[in-house]
Amino acid sequence: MAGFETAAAGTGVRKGTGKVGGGLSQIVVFKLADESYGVSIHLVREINALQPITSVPHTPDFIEGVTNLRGKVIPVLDLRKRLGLPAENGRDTRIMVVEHRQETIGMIVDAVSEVLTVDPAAVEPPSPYVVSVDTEYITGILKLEDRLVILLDLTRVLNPGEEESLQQFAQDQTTGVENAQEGA
Amino acid sequence: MGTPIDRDLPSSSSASSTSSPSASSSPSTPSTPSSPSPLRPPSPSGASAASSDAQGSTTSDQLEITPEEFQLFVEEGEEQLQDIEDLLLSLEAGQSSPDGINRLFRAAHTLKGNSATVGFHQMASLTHALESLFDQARKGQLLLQGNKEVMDLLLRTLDTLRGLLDTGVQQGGREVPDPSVAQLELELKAATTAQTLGPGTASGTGAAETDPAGMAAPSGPAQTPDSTDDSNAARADWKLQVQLRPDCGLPAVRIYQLFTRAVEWGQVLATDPTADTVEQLIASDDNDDRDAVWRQQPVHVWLRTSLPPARLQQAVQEIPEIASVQVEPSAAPIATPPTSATSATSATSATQATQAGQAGSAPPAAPDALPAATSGTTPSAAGVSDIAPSQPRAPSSSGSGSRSAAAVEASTIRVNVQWLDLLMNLVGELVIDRNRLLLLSSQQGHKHEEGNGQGHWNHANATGDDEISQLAAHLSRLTGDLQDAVMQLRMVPIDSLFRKLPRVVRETARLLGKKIRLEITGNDTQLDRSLIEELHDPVLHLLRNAVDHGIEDEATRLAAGKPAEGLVHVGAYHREGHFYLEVSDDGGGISREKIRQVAIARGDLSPEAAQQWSDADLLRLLFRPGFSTRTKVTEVSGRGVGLDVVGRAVEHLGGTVDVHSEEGKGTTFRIRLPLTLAIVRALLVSVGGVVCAIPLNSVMEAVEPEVSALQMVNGRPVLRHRDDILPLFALHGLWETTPPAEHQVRSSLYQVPTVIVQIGDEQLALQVDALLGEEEVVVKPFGKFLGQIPGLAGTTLLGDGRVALILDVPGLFAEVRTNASYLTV
Repeated sequence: MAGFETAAAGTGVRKGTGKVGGGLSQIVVFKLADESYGVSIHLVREINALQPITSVPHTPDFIEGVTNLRGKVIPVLDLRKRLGLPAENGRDTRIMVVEHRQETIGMIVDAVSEVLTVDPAAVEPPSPYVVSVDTEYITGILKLEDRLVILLDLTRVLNPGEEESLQQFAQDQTTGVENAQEGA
Repeated sequence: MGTPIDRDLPSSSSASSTSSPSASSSPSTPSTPSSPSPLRPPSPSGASAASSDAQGSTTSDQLEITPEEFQLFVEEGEEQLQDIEDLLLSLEAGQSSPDGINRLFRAAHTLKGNSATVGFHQMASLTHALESLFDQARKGQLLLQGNKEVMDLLLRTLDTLRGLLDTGVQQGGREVPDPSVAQLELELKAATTAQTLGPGTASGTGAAETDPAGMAAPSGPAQTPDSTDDSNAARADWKLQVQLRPDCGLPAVRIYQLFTRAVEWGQVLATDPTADTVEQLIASDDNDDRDAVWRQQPVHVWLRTSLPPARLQQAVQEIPEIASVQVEPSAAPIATPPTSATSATSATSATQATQAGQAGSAPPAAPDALPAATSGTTPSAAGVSDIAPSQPRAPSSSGSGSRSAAAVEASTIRVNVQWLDLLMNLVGELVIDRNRLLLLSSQQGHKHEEGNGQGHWNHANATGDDEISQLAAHLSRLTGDLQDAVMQLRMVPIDSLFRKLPRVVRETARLLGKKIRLEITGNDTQLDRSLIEELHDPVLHLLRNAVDHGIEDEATRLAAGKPAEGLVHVGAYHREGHFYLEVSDDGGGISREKIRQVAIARGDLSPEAAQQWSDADLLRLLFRPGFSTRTKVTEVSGRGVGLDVVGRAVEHLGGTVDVHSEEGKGTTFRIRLPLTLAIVRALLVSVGGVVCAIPLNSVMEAVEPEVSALQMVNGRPVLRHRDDILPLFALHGLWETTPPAEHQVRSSLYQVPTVIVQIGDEQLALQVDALLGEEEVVVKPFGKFLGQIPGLAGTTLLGDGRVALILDVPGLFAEVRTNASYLTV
């Protein structure tokens, strides 16, 4: 039991999408409010058309609700709202399904455009002057000939807030203590 | 199962010779259910031979151990350690069982063999020391009962062994040396030899001092020559025929005493009546004199002991209300079945007795025939089984059916929990598909009706539809059965939790310097295994609470005219499709006045309200967060430390906790849980386009109240329903960001469907948009990402693929309480 807990806490260390940056890697590029964003392809499981979403009360406003992904209930968040961009659902709106801490999560994006192979040399550190999104969520900026692709740090984006991680931490702590007591 | 473990066969065969013959009809199966067991003569040297075997095997084949085999070793090891602990604690509590010390020895012996097999040499050597000590105790040369020092040492040893096992698991099957082992071994050896100087020497009298009956040290002269090697050789088998006095007040109790004492004299081979029978007689409340038959008929005990007959006779006479004792040699111990006390069931064939033992549910015999009450078990097993049996996975026995260890074990296999969970998930999916199929077939039926008169197409389709709906109905039934079966698989006896409790009470009581007796009932009550895990902390919390704050200190108790020893009772039972667990104490109870004072001081209620509140309401305050901070409550009522945590944990499981307390007499906490969490029947309602499932176990009724029944009281919406005034809550308020109480409850001209839910004795009326019907829903918890959501227990998939939200009714109460705080109005 304790083993699992520690493992879960360990993944909480902030170094999530580090895949992009070292060696060539592939990213999925999608659109949000007329800007291009990218996440490592390793994290993306599938891309689906928008489907009915059941709204869930008492959740942050960027949580759209839950949906049925082939018999599995997964949470869906609106990436626009999450990143503080104006909300708007268009024709090409998709649910991008990603894996995060062994959990499957859907993210609503405007459209998914392509898969790119990235040369780490072309990635620049995030700069607040170039993008409209809080640099806290960005691992870097990919400069292509005709445009910029913002590389998202999914670990931060998908962390609903400091509060949750603190809660998690506190839980891990108490479990640890109890185990220690039982062992003693 | 794992062959390396089974290498320890010699010991297990010797084990079965004393515990019970395998249920698969050994030729010596008794012909009358109530006759004592014709035990195979236990080979006195068998055990020691086995032990040397096991030692030999350690070096001879140090084969590779597969992970599965190691896992098996760990599981069995944990069980054996737990068994040892249980037995030790029950010995300490004075409940020695006829077979207790033998079982101790066997458990240690098996563990030794197993640990040597997997290469845990430290563990093997420590258990060897343990085994030697138990062996001395078994031979009657060391007294465990009442020997506090040895008992502490043994418990420490168990902890160390557990530690070795745990670190071994963490290291992936490699034993990690523990420096304390050597020291413990020395201490164990010292304890073993301290009283093994041999009979006739000083220790003989020394032991006699500790044992009031003077039974601890064997005094037979034949004992001396080979006492250190094998005292069994000097033992003889005796048949004790004990006649109680005709005016004996409590025959069953005297017989029980006799059996309990007999264990101290030697190895009890069999008894008539069986120990189980006697135990049941003692346990049964009704004084219908079922034990009266023993005022006339003699009680028999077959005993292997080194004590001389005269000494035995004298020892038996020390028990009150004994009329006469005859001690006869019993060369072939049980070859001749004694005259049975009952002939009522003597006609039953041997096969039936065997079957009965296996099923554990034999047809009950005539109620007035006493020993026939145990016809549900092969007497051989019952005769020597533990006084307080705690068999995992025992078939749920309702009083008369007693547990036959051999029969249960024979039909039990170990299954990895992961497979059970997988099976449960698959069945869950199947239930969803079934619901979907039922939906489709009913829709199909509707279409069919609508389109009637459209000619041949319909005709052809109609037969198809019929078949589909038949198929759907059949599939539905099958799925239901499958679901029940899988659910049953997940049910395990609460014993796995309960057996940890004696140790907790022992430690807590010792820490506080209190004398506490722990009584446990219903340890074979079954519950979904996931729930048992979740219950662990709350129960331990309540138990410590009872010991710490419930039971008064000795002086107070004596002053109040209570026995110095406090009684804590933990019990479990099933009732009306629910599982109940109670923790009660005979302590000082909870002072209502003090609750009032704290509540007023905290601002929970006004002084006027405090006087009007019912007892139940006041006690419920204990579960309020913060009400139970140590500084406040300990000095005031001495109760309630962290009770809100217990309350929340249980509510999270879909259950409730309530308290009953009588000042000066004691307090009972009662936890009520659904039997399983995975699948629940629910009422589906729609709320603002979302389907919500309300678990049926909390739904009282669904109504469409008259508009006039909706009223405002003190600015809060309420529903007048029959003679009650219920707080009213519009369910769509969950989705709003303002506190629910601020919402306009709809009191328009039309009647709004309203569901009345109840938790404990609190009710709440929920306004919804529409009632959709009942359905069995599979609970899918919100993942870690969403975490726990107040008022919701999880999600479920509907037949049409939509996701519905499952309401957490207790959570909803908490929501309404914190936001509307109608209680304080």
